Amino acid sequence: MSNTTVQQVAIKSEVESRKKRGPFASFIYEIVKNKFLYLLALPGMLWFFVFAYLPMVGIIIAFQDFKAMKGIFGSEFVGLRNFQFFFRSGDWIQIVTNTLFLNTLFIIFNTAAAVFIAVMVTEVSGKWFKKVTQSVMIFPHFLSWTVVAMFVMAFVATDGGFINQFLSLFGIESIQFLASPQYWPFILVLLKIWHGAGFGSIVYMATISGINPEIYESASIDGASRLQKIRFITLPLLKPTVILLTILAVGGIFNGDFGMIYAIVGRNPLLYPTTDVIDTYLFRSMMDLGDMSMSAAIGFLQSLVGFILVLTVNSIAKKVAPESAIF
Amino acid sequence: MSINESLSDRILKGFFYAAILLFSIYCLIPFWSVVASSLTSEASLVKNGYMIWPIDFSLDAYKLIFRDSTIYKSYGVTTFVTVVGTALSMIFTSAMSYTLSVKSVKYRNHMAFYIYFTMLFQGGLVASYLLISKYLDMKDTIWVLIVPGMLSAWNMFLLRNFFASIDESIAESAKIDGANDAYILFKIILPISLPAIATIGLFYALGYWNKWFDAMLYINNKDLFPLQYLIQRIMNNLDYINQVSADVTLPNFIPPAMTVRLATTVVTIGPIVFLYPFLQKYFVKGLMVGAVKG
Amino acid sequence: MVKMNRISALLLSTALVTTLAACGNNSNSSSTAVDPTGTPTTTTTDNNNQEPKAEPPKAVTLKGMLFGDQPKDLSLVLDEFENRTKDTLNTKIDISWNAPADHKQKVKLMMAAGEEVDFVFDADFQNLRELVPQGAYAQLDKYFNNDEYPGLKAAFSEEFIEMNKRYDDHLYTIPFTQYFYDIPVIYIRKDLREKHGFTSPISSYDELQQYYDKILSSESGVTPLALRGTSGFQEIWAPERPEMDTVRPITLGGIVYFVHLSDDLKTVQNVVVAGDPAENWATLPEPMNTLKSAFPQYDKWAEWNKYLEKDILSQKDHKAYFMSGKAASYYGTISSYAADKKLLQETIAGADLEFFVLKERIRNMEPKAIATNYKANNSIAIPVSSKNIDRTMKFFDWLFQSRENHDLFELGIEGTHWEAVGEDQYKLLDASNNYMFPGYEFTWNPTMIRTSADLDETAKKYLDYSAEADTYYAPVLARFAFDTSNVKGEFANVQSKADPFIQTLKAGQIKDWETQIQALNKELKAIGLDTIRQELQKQVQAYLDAGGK
Repeated sequence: MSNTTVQQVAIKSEVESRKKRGPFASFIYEIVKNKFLYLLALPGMLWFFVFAYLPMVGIIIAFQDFKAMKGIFGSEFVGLRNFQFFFRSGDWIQIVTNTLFLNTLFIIFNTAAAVFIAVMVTEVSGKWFKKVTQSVMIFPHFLSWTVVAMFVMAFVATDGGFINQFLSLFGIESIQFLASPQYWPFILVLLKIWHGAGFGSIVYMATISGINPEIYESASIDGASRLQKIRFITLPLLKPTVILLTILAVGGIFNGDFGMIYAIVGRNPLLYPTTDVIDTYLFRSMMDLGDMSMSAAIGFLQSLVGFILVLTVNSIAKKVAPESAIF
Repeated sequence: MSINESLSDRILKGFFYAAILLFSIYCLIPFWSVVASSLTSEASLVKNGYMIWPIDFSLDAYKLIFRDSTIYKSYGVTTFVTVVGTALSMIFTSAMSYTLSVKSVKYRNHMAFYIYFTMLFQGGLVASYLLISKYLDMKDTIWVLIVPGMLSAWNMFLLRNFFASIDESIAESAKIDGANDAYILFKIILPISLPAIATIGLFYALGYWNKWFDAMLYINNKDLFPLQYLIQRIMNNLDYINQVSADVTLPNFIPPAMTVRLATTVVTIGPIVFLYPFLQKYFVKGLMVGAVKG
Repeated sequence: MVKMNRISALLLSTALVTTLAACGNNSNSSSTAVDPTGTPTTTTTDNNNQEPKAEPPKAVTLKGMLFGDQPKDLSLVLDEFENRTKDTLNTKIDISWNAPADHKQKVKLMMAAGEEVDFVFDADFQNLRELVPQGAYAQLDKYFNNDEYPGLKAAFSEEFIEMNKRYDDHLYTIPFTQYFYDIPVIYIRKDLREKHGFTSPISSYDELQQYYDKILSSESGVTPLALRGTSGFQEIWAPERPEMDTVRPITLGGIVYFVHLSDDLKTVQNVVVAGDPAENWATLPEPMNTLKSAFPQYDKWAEWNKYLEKDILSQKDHKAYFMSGKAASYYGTISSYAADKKLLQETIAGADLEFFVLKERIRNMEPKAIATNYKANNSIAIPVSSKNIDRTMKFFDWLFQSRENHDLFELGIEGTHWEAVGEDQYKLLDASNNYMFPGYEFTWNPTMIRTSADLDETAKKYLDYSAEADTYYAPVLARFAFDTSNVKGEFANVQSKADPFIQTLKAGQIKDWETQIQALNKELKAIGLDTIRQELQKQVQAYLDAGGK
C-alpha cells in the first residue's frame, strides 16, 4: 500500500519534529493526535484493569500455603514448595508429553477441518442446502461432553458397541477399546473435530465473505480453475486469521482439555498412558486434599509456559506475517 | 477450454457437496438421537438405550422441566442478559478492536500486549470472588451476569484482525476527503464489516446464553437464575456421585432421569438453532462489492 | 406520664429478667440479637415456672445453604413452621440450594470472603477437615447437654456428641445421621434367581457364586454382577474377622496403613503398608502376619473378575446398567432398597428385587457386629461470621423438641405429604413427590427415625438392627483423624500414583497382586510413602499420649 506524496511529506515532517521532543512529550502528542481512537479504547482498558488485573493478585496463592480463612494477604509465603510435588514423581514427563501431543494434534486438525469446511460451504451453491447444513454442523458444539461421552461409550463398548458389532459382521474379533490406550489419541482427535470444526468454520466463513468477488472474477477470466482459485486466492487470504487463531491456541497448549477428557476417559486407569493430561492428573491428586495452593501453582506453570511459547511464536510471526502477530 | 474447466470444477463442487452432506449427517445424528431419546419414557430409555425414533413416546421429561415456573423466569433472565450483554460487549469490543487495528496508533501493540497478558494469567477464583462479591458487592444482581464477562480478549483480537484486513486505501481516501476518525469508523468501516460484527456478536451472544458458572458463584436468588444454570444443576448431579470418594454414600440420592438430562440439552439449544439461520445472510460472499472505488 | 411508663417498663423488665435468670441455669449467655431498645430476649423453652407469657423475640431470618434441589412444597412447610412458632421463635428460614457438585467450592469461597450466613451443610467429604482448624466455624459445645436446650439434649446423647467432637475436643457441627452404618448388600434379581432353580434366597457367598455361574452359562448377554468402575468390589469378600485392638487400619488416600500398637494400646510400634517386605508383616499378630492372609479378598476378586462386564472400569452408573436388564445383580446399600425395588418393577415387567447381606455377622443380626466411630457423615456447621448463632441453635432445639416438629421438616405436612403409621413408620401420600427433603442435611437423628410402612419386612428388620445401639462398638483409634498439612506434597504424589493401581485391583483385574503390590510399594517409597508413614506414627502417638483411645 503506497502512500501518496502528500502523506509522505506529512509523515516525514512529523518524524522530524518527533525527534526533537522528549519521550513524555511525544507520548502526550500521540494521545492528542489520535484522541478519538484512544478515547474509544479507554473504557475497555479500564474494564480489563478492574476485572482482569486487579484479581491477578490472586496469583500469589501459588506461592503461599493458602488457608481460606487467612485469606490472600494473611497466608504464609512458601516460595516454590507448591511446585515440588508435580515434579517429584517421574510421571510428569508422560503427562506433559500427552498434554502437548494431544493439543498439537487438536490445533492442527481442528484448524484444517474448519478451514476445509468453510471453503467447501462457500464454494457450493443452493441457498437452502447451505443454510441447513451450516446450522446442522454447529449442533455438536452445543452438546456437552457428558452427553457426548454416553455416545462414545455406545460406540466403543466391548460388548455390544457399534464398532465391535460392525467388526463382527466381518468376523473380526472385538477390540477392547476401553482397555487399549493406543487408539485414544486418534479417537479424541476425531471427537474434537466433530465437536468443534463446524463451529470453528464460522470465523473462516466470515473472512471469506469479506473477500472482494472481483478478484475471483478476474481469476476466472484468466482461466483459473476452482481448485486454483481456492489455492491462490482463498487460502492465502485466510492466512492471517489462521495464524492469529493458532497463536492464540498456542497460548493454551499446556492446558489439557479437561472437560472433554474427564467426561470421556473419566477414571479409567487403563487409558491414562495416552490420555492423562496435566489437568486430569492434577484433579486426581487433589481429590482428597482439595488444596488450592498446589492447584494454583500448576495453573501458574501452565500459564508461564504458554506465555513463553506465545512470545516466541509471535516474534516469528512478526517477521513472517506481520499483519497477524498479536502484539 | 471453458467446458473442460467446468468439468473439473463441477467434480470438485460435487465432491464438496458430498463431503458437506456426510459431515452434516455425522453431526446431525447424535443430536437427533438426543431429541428422540428425550421424547421417550424413562423406563424405555433405560431399557433400549439411545434411539433414532422415540419408542414409547412420552413428554414426561419436558413436563418435569417446565413444571417449575422457575424455568420461565430463567428464560427471561437469560434473554435479557444475552441481548443487553451482547449489545454492550459489541460496543466496547468494536471500539477497542478498531483502535488497535489502525496502524497509525503508536501504542496499539503495547495495548494489545496489555490485553493479551490477561488471557494467560489469571488470579484464580478466590481473588475474583473477593473482588466481585465483597468489594464490588455485585452478588444477586443481574449485572453480575453481564459485567464481569463483558469483554473477551479472544473476540477482540479476532475483530481487530477483521478491521485490519479492510483495505487501508478506503480509510485513507476518506481522510483526504476531510473525514475525521469518528466518521470513518461509523459511516465507512462498520457498514462493510457486517460479517465480522455478526460473527463476533454471535460468539458473545452464545457466551451469554450459556453462562452458568458466574450464576453458581454469585446468585442465590431463584428469580435471577439463568437458564443454563438451572440446566447445569440437573446435569451435574450424576457426575457428582462418581467424583465423591467410594466410601461416601449419599442416601436416597436420586439422580435425575436420563430423559430429563437430554431434554435439558434440547431446551437450551432450541433458541440458538433458530437464531443462527438469521445470521447466515451476513456470511454471503461479496458483501464488499462496490466498497473499493479508486 | 410517658416518662413514668417508660421507667416502670424498664424496671419491670429488669425484674423479669433477674427472676428468669435465677430460675434457669444459665452458665451460657443466651443474649441473642440484642434489641436496640434494650429489652433482653427471653428464653423460649418451656420452664415449669409460671412467669407471664414472654414477648416473642425480635424477628430474624436465618440464612442457610444446603445442596440439592429445593423441594417444591418447601414454602408450605415453612409457612406452617412460621405459623406454629410465631410467638415462640419468631424466626424465618431462608435456604439457598446449591448444586451438589458446586456446594463444596461455594462454601469455601464464602468462608474465605467472610460472608454472613447462619448455617451451611458441611462434612468431612466437603470442607470440614480444612475449615475447622482454620477457625471458620463456631464452637457449639455449650448448646448441647444443656437444659436450656432440652430438644438438643434429648436428641443428642453425650456419647454421640463426644464422638463427633473434633481433634481439639470441641464440637463444631450439628451431626445428622440415622444409622451409623448403611449396610452394604448385593441386590439380586429375584425372578432370575427363581428362574434358574434357586428356590430360596441366597444366603452365602458360595450360593452367590453358583448363581453367577448359572447366569454366565445360561443367560447370555447378562452380566452376573454390576459394579461401579471407581469403587469395584469394595466390601465384597472382605474378611470377616473381629477388629483387632492392636492392629488398626487407617485409610489415607486409598491406601490402608496398619498401625500396630503395643498390647497396652499406649505405644505405636510400627506402621505397615501393603507391599512392605515380609519382615514388616511378620511383626503383626496373626492373621495379619503375611500379606496373603491379611488380604484374602484380593485373590477372590481376581477369581470373580469373570462375573463382571469387560468395560467395568468405565462404568459410571452401574445401577442404570442393572435396571436396563443387562446385569443379574449389583452392589449397593440397604437404604436404597425401597426406591430401587420400585424402579425395577416399573422398568422390567415381572422383575423383582431382593438383597444379600455381605457380612455374615450382620446377616445374622448379631450384637456388636459393626465397628463404627459414631461420626455422622453429614452435618451442619455455623460460621463464626454469623450474627445469629443463638437463634439458629434455638431453631434446631425447637426442631428436635418433638417428633411433630422434626417430622414437619423431614417428611412434610402430615395429611398432605405423608401420614403416620404408628410411632416409627410413615406412609407416603400422593403429594410426597413435592416434598423430597434431604434429611441427612438438616434433620436426621437416631432418636427420631421413621421407616416407610411399605418397606419389606426383610429390609425393615435390618434397618431396625442398624438403629440399635447394641449393634455397634467403637474400635480403638476410632476418633483419630489424620491431618495432612505437613505432608501435602507427598500425599498428592502417593495418591495419584496409587490410585490407578488400587482401582484396577478393586475391579479384580490384577491376578498376581502380591508381586505388583510390592513393586508399587517401592515406587511409592520413592515419592514419600515413608514420610507419610512416619507422620502418621507421630500423630497417632501424640493422640494416644493425649489420652485418646
